Amino acid sequence: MKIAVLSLMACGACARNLEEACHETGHEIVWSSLDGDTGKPDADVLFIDGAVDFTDHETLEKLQETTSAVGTVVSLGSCAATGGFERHVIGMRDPDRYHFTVFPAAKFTDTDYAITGCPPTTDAIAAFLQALDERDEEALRPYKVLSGDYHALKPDLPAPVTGPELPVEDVLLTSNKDLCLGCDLDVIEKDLFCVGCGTCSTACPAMAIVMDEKPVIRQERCIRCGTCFASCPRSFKTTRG
Amino acid sequence: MEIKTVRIPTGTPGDIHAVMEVSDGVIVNAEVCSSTTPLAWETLVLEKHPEFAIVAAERVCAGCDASAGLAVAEAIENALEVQVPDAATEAREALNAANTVRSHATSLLKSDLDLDADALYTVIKAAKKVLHALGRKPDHPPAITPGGLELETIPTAKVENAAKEALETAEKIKDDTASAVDDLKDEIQAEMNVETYGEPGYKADLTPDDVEIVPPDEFYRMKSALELANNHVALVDGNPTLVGPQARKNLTDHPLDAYTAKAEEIVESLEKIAETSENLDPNADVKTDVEYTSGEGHAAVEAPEGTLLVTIKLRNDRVDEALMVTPSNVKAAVAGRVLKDLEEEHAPTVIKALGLSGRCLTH
Repeated sequence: MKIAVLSLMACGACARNLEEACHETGHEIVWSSLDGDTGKPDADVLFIDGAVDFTDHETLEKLQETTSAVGTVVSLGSCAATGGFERHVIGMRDPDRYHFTVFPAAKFTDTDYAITGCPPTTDAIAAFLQALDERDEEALRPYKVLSGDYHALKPDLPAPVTGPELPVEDVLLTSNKDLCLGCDLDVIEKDLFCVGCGTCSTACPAMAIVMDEKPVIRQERCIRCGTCFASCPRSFKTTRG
Repeated sequence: MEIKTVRIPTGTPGDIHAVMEVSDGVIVNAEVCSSTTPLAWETLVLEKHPEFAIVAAERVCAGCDASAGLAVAEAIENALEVQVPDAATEAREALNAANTVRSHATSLLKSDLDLDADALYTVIKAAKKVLHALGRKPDHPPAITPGGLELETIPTAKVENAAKEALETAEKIKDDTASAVDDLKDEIQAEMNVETYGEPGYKADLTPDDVEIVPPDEFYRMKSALELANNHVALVDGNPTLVGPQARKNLTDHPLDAYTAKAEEIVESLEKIAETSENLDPNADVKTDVEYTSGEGHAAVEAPEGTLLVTIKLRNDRVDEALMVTPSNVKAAVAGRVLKDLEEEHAPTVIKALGLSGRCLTH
């Protein structure tokens, strides 16, 4: 697969891990805005690294131009997938604590898949690349759900979904707006889906979840990346029959 | 005389621009700035818990993530007069060294030098093992916390093995880099007459009194730079100053020596990690309890790309005031001088070698 990388509002860790994963798996990055490439990439897959500031017209144009040229678009990391840490961005050192102009890429363009994580590990990206290479739909399904295409996916499922009833994108963008910028562990807890397995705690990139039978979020460390939600084995669970 | 604005791809996030006055293909005057949307770390941490200031600092820029977290943690500890266990300080030094190895190797991969990518990824893997072992994750290490490190035991054997196994490859990278830099120097004639700041090691003695923060409208003189610049710049002792590997190694004859210095620091950092882990007791205490009261403190660490200074004022368990001076803030002030008298076509290569990141600049 020929891979392209569009870096937007990001710290660069996701793109760096993608480069490491591509080196390990033998995939070639043929186009990267980090290396000064512009225009339409001639690639099979475009990875968007970082969130989108919709007041930045240049970014929106770049997003439009690059995504229209590539068959498969992937939000790479929590900033692209949910807005993640970037939704803390204030910009221009304004005293206003909230910056409502930063959103995930799926808000502005069609994305096929999203990989959460702050950043996703090299292994996680390599696993995704392998699934994509092999067109393994079962393995790709969680990435597809997180891309915001939750409703579109629902009719194709063999059984009813018992996860959050709201479209994932709406949940991520609306719940606890003042506090939560992406993490929806509370959705799982409140709907009694939680079995206390601790996967969220292990997955959390900020060590913001401690287990006390059920997960307890240390709000002071939470970056609202949504990795806990994405890693929870119950968040995408389906029931049979 | 012509004025040109060039966007410089550095391989790092954000947008760096060089605004240059060019005469007969030679740069006679230049200013380097960033147009990246500011993250505004100083503002977004206000009224937040001090631990969030660490977590947020690590997400400013991936290049120096662990070092930024360490600088904030140490500033908080100084504000609260917390004494960190010796073993935690040693482990933090190894963590900072691992950050240096990973950042430098990534920078060399992104450079215009023709180097062995497999060798560079070998040392990156070693650095990630150390970051994972001491920081609990290979990226944005979350174990960094006020009072020490969130570790039950120190996985010294794992750390020592990772560092030692990569040393031979690192030596090869050092030799290859020196040779590649020499070749490229034949093409790019340049000199550096700049002030420097930085010494080898983990902690730096830079204080807020040594640094002057200049807003963009006061620093930049060229119209295009003034229109673009979103970044502050930092002067050390009132002067544009070079920080980072070149300054620490005192290799400042040519801007491309930045790569030579980075390759040397990869070897030294791995040696430091191995030596530190050899001497550490795996069961040593690495965390002391912290009681959040009020106070003000500062700390400076030698991050991969240069000296990083943080000051923080706490009011009980909330951040009341914060300031971060990043390596890019300091280097942006001197970058224009480095470009002077250089052939215009070489500006991107030289700016990339300086290790500027737009995101770091506007943090």
